Amino acid sequence: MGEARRIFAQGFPAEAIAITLELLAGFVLVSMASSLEKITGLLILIPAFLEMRGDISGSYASRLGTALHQGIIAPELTLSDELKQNLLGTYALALAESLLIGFAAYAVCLLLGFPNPSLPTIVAISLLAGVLSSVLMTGLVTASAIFVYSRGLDPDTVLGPYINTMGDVVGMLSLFLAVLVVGGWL
Amino acid sequence: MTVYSAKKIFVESMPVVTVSVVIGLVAGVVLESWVKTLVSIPFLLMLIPPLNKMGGDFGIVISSRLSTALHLGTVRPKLEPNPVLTQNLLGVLAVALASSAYVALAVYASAALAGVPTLPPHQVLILCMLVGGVLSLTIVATGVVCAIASYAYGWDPDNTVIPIVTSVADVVGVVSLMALVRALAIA
Repeated sequence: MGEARRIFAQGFPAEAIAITLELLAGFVLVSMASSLEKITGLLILIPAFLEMRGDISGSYASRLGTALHQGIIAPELTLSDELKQNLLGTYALALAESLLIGFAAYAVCLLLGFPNPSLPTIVAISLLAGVLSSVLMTGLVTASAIFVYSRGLDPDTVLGPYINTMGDVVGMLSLFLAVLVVGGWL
Repeated sequence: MTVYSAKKIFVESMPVVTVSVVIGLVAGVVLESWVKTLVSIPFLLMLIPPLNKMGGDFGIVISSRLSTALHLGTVRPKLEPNPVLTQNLLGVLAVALASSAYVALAVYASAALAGVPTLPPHQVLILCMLVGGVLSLTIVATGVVCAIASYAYGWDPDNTVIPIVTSVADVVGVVSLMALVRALAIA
């Protein structure tokens, strides 16, 4: 029974913290309720968008952890060439996937006959939220990884479990803002 | 020459992120087809992020722990009874039960505080325990299969298995939530 008990003792508190933070993402989603009804396809793109956000931020954070340990990136907030390559790769990936998500969500709406989808609206929301959340997440992850590392802690262990949750909250907030901006334009 | 290359990061990450995005779109389609119900009972919307998060985490924990056990040789890459595997499954399932109850409590309490109309507390508890149960059993099974596959192919679970189990959790989470909402005649 020892190992199972240890998994519970370490796993449950961490999970409870993650769930508590995740409530914020739930609140943002609830406050978008009327937009979810008005903008066909918005609800389709949300899980895919949050997945993308978690995947890209998670791998950025784990590369950063490795690079700090190996001394490839110094624990200071300067835009070195190594950091630049990491950021560029992350941004390019988020742009490409946000576009893909927008177009795919629209295509699925047409295919399944959901009423009146708008291609410019759905693509603009996905793209704008993708850009916004990328800038916010890379800033947040870089600053916190460097902070954690310079305190002599391991970013992989300390930050790793919270990157996805941070991504969900930042991702939902970015979608919320993108809906406001795009809704105001169109 | 830098150690990291933006192009390499892009090319290597693109396929797996795309697969997880496509699976995520399936979850989205399920949600979109229930949009009227979700908007009329916004409490259900509040449950989605924590439930999906929970499912994804169990998948990550079991597949990462098993990959390590496989590398250490304490578990063989075969589906056979094994004390290490049993302990891992028991531990994760215990976390799943406690976490599902916690989701019910946390979402109910915070919705009530914020003035979001809630469902009756016993319904919230039943809903969360049942979704949590279905979700954790399916995701743990997916995680075990993915860990054995990742070991067999020599993939790093951080790069390939995790994005897949987390998006599978999204689909199972929303499908079981909406199925139970219907079965329990909540909507």
